Amino acid sequence: MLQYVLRRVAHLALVAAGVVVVTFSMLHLIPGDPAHVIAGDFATQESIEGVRRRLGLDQPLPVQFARYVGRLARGDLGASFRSNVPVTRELGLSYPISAQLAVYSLALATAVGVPLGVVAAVRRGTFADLATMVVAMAGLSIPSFWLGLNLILLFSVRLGWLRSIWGGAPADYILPSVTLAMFSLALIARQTRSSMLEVLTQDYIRTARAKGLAVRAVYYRHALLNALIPVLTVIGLNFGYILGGTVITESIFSMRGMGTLLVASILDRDYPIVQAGILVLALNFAVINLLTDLLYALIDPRIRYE
Amino acid sequence: MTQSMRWWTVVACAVTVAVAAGAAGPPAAGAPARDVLRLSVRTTVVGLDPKFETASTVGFINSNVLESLVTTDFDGKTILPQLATEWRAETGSSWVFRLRPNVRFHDGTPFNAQAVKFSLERMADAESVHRGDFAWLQSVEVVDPLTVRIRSKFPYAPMLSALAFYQPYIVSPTAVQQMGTQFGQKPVGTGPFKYESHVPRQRTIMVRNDDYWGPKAKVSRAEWIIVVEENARLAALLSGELDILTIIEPSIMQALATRPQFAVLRGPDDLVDRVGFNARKRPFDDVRVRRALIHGVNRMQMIATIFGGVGVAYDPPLAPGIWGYDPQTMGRLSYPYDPNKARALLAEAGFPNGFRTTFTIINRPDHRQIGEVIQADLKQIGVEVALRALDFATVSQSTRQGEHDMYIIGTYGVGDPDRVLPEFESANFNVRNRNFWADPEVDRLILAQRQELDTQKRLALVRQAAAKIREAAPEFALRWRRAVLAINKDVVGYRVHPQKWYVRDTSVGR
Repeated sequence: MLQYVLRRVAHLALVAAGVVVVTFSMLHLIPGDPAHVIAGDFATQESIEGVRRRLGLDQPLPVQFARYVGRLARGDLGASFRSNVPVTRELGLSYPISAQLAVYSLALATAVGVPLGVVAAVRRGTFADLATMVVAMAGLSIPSFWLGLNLILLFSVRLGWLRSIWGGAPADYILPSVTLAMFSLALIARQTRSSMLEVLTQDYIRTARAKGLAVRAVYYRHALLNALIPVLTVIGLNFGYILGGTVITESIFSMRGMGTLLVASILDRDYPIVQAGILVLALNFAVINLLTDLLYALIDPRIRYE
Repeated sequence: MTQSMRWWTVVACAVTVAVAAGAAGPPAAGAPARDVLRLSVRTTVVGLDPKFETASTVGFINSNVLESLVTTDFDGKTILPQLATEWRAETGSSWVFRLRPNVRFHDGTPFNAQAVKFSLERMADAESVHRGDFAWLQSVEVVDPLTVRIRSKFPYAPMLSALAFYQPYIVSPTAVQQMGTQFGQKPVGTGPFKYESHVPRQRTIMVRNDDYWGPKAKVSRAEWIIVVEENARLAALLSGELDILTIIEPSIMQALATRPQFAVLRGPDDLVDRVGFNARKRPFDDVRVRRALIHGVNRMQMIATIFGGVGVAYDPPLAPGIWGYDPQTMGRLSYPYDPNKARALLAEAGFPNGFRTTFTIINRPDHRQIGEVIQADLKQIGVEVALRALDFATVSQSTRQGEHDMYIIGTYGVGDPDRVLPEFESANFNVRNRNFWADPEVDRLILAQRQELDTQKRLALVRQAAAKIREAAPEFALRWRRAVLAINKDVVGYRVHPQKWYVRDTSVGR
């Protein structure tokens, strides 16, 4: 087990190295020069050259890459081209917002989605099943901008209970989390339902029932626990996605999450932010995948990593 | 069971914590703390250092914290004193400014001639993104602590206008030295407000400067909040979270029309929307083709529909807010909508069946909308337009290199004509001249007006140049915008200025 974890961590380093190279090359391959963006559309060639010198963009690419890797090795992520603000601060402002959004919305989605899925599976074919799946379908189909704006209209404009503009207070996370949770909730409910249905047809469930175990115990101890593994995968993936930025929801609630930061930085060709941001997100994804894999083993004793 | 129980407990706790924390948060919308003015900004504000920022929004916000030697009145043209109390030209290329005494920067540093020299030289140095705008600047000399002499490399008529712009602000030299590269996170000036905090891409907060040399600000605090989503801005205005929306879309105007608590303010705007032709490329090297295409675009309908009736079409280079504009001679469009005339001109130029071309736009909703309307209009005269929607960085580089056929660009709509005339000079090919159109006579006229200090003579030169440009039609204007803002009617005393977002005299009632 420990060996397995160590091996996976070593993989992380490889992923990081790959991301560094790929991000750097892609940023420099796409058209559009950061110096143009910073110096403005009307800038003279001289102004543009001045910006290039200041940012070190006048150096040959290999030199720029070597400098970037050298700084990275020292843990220096550099400063934003646009604002001169250290990248650590820029990311430090955005990452916690996205992380909290991810945690809250997935907690909500799981807390509601799993029971819904269980109910739908246990009462398969009944009205409860139908109703649950209609909710799930709606969750998948309703666009986040529609839902988000309607939540704002109801809770901010009409009732005045919550702010529509994110200001950093815990309450400000409620509406965006609900908005984001709908989609994950639907996925989780559907996944729970289908894997529960599959598990419920297994022999050991019949055996458990035959032994005279209470229905509840069968469903929750024997069936649900085993049905949770694919659900965990869904949760893990969604966590990664939300952490990576949900541009639309962020923009509706005026939050500067990872999505807003990265999209703006890509448009600005703000290389230091994009490079560091993508690196952080890629590592996040890898770590979440690793944790998900380890959780499998925790839930299902049959799974053993060598 | 134990494992799943544990897991459920974790989830339950997380939800409880989130909900409880939410319930205990600060009071929500509409709390009557009315000593604060909250304004929304539509574009992202990253840094605030005038030396490194070209975004007008930054300059507009800064106008409350940083001041310049002179400023403009609400028409964007009339020069008013600010940190300079009086000035005179010694010769065409040497001006003396008398500075306002007993003024201190927010950090306590005294404002003086040294600070003016420091700030202006800083704007013109090799690292500054505005170096090109200060190409005229020869030197700034400290005559005595409260007098500076500014020399230009040649007689420079637009100097006062250049100094009144939203960039050459006078900043505290000590603050710049102390803060270094982080100066842009909290610039220090002499204005009626001082920066309290700035979260890049989120919000900028300024508080009243109680030691201000002039009339003190009415509110103790102004918050500038970035809200990009148009519907979210509207919702936040309706819920009372915002007091002023700077620059709004027609949809918001409609939504507010039926709500008595809110008003729409209008004023002159510094922005215009124009479409240019690449006159170095066929078939746009032919003036008949350029004129035909302008005749082919129904600008009046465009303004009435997609622009919500806001703005007026005009003939470049002079928008109605620019000094030198003459409603007598420029009030009627030279190339009004006339598809028959357009087709005739195309046939005359050898394109009886039209041609195919591209239109480079920035990939954002307003540009796409403009692009689609122009595409549909020009189809009527046989010209097939393919939209080339790219991000700003690519558009900027591509048009600079002259890769485009038609392109859309916004420039200035108020103030000195020399803010727009460089776009028609051959010396500015690849820089500000993206039409790649030039004429030696126009070059001469533009240079002459720039160096002509006699107002009447200069006016004549500007109008001559304008007439020639109008005739050659290297570009056309969709509209001179109007600044349109939405405000909560509790807001009192806000006036629309085309280049500054002054909130000193604004208060919030209720």
